Amino acid sequence: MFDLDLFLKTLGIMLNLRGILILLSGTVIGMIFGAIPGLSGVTAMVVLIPMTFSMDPVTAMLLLGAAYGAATYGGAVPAILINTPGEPPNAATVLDGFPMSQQGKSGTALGAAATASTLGGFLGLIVTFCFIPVMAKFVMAFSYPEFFMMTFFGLSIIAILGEGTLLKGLAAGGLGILLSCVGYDPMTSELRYTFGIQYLWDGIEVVPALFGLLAIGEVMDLLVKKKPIADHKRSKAENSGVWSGIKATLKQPFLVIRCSSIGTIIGAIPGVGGTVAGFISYMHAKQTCRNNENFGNGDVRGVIASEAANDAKEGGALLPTLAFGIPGSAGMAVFLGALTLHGIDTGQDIFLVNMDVVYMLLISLLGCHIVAAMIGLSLADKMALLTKIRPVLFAPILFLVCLIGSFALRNSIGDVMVTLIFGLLGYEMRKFGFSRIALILGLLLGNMAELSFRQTLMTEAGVMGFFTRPISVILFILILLSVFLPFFQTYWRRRKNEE
Amino acid sequence: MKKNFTLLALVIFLATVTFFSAIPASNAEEYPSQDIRLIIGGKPGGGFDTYARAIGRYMKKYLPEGVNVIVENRPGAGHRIAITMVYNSEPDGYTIGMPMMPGLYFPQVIEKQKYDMTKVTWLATILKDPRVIAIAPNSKFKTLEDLRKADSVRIAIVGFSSETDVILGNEKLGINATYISGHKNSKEGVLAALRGDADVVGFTFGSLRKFILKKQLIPAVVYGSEKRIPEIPDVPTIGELGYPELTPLLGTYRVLAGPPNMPAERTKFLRDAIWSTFNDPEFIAWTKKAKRPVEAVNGEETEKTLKKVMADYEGYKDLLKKYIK
Repeated sequence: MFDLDLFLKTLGIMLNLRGILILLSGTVIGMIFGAIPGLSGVTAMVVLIPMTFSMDPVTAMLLLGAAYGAATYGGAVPAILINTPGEPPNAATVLDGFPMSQQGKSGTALGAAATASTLGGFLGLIVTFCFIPVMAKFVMAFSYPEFFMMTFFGLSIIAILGEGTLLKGLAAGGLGILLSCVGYDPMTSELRYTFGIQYLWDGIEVVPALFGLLAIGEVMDLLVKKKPIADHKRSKAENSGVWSGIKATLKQPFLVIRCSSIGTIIGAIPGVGGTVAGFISYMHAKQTCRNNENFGNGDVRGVIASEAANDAKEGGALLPTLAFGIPGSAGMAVFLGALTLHGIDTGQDIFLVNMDVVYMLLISLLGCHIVAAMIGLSLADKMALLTKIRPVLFAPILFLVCLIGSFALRNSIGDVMVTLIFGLLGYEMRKFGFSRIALILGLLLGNMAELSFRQTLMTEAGVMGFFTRPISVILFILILLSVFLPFFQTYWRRRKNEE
Repeated sequence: MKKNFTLLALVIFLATVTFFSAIPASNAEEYPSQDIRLIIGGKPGGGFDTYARAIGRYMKKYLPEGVNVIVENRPGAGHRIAITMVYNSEPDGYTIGMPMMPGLYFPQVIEKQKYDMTKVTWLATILKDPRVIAIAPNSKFKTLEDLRKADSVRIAIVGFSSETDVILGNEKLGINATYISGHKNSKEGVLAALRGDADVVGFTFGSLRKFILKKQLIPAVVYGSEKRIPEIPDVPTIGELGYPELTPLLGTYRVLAGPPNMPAERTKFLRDAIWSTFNDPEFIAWTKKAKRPVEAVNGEETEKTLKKVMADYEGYKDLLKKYIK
């Protein structure tokens, strides 16, 4: 299976001046695309594909792989600094990353994100490699009931978000699920709740809503409070530099391994999506770590969990591609498209005939993580200064960037309106202690949960499908455990104290 | 104050942009004197996008110096957002689209839409992709006969409006189908079949080719092709099974079209430019390299064919209405 000779030969293509320059430029472009809200790794590749026409397919893979891989790290930067994930899969990073910035520890958060991304990317590929012998069975084991349970798992994180009360979290999540029903019915194509507005046909786009809720809401709050993000009075933290972030990550090897495995497995299932990976991994970290009361208020382990899973998922997304020639993520789909343009057949046998292309993809995904981590770590302290700028100087620019970003997404002025409306909503939610992430989870996963639930009902097993399939049952038990365990723990602790 | 100023600057900027982009073509004789927008309903990197960008690239040769074809992606609502934009744009020949037929026609039969496919200006057919009804290897059904005899055949589809033609074919052949809809694209539908969640898929041959040639799916019947598909010569067409009148109605037409009431000379100009592009040796070389086949049909023929297809579908309205609400 593994052809060392060919692997080294492919590595050689990268390890010369031209190769390294291509890797470097791909990584920088990817990081910039990832960091700008509204642009993503997929956009970076689509823009770069025409430039690869003059290259051979292997070199093209180097450029595209680097740009795509680096974008996921780039996306963590605005999530930490300005509460706005550069791409939806970075959404879970916001939970602890931004509170860390508020405490003046953005250097630590950025360092941890860079390290966790790199390790996650590596481990994801290793886990993927272990799964190759059973990949076809593995991918086939996930059907509609499992899809539903995965999205349900993602939704159940609302219970443990910790911002505001549980009731407020559920209200926000419920509103999100209701909003996700807008647009045409995914099964029957009937229009629902569109009020004759054509923009709403396709539902409320998640990314502009995300910018509004998180970024615009934050901008308004900054301008009202007139204080920089990192509040000096609160930032008494020592060791707030990049190195403490690296150390914090390296001190948690098992957490990184567990979260990367979660990311890889979820990434391998086409149709579930990377955003769920980040959230489930975050939830797992919160529930398995000791002294977890600080999660949601700036615990570096939250950042580590989310970023490790987020980068590991691309390794997982290779599995269905290897097994069936079916891309596991939007990024993989664009990779396959680019290969077709280079005249390479992208069926299963790409792994027999054009193995060098696959090796180059692996090498570039790994290489770009290293380069991105170096760039990210050397700039982290400088980027952290952003959180100390007076809001009047910085907030208007951020406001504009978000509006342009949401316009750039699909060239639609409707998206900009969504950003503005959700911005107002986000500000009010923040003021009254409703979790904005809960609303985003509802909006993001509501539709997927509904679709996979109804698809399950259409299968022969019907509703029993949820309880007769082993993986679905295990997931269901895990959901129950993760939702109710914290309550029992508090209850037990209280009883112990009483005794 | 700062924020107000920024907002003001943004408003001025947007107003300027809108103003300049809204200047109409001043003189009919100079057409085309500005860029032509090609609005498509596919996402960047997908099939429609790949075709559109290639056509745009090679069509430049047949346009005056400095005039480009700019591809705009407006995905959503099964291509309905894109066609609505094209339909309601100024019929000045500067906005065209790439609708898929008959998938876009059926929604308007069921419910009033903000477009009317019977009125658009047809420019050319890029390709008519036939559909293949293909059986999953681990399904209990093996042949077309099994499917026709079965009480219920599970078919994985993307959506009822995009696969109206499959439903029509199945009804005529007497296949009792249960449709599992909501798959994001044909690949997820294929995966559902490979997993055993569905017995059959009915996507275009273009998207099923590699699965069929690798024996991951067993082709049973071809919808929407007059002749058998050369790569699967043993598979009969629906015409051979006694329903030749259905052949034009089935399969997916990828076409180029503009808004209604385009001036005749501009329509002719665009039809000629597109036709020259389709016959351009470099474009043909691209279609081979990128494995994106083109079976071009000119504008007049396209108009004739699709008008007949739409008229014929009226007759099957009641048959199909029980699936599409």
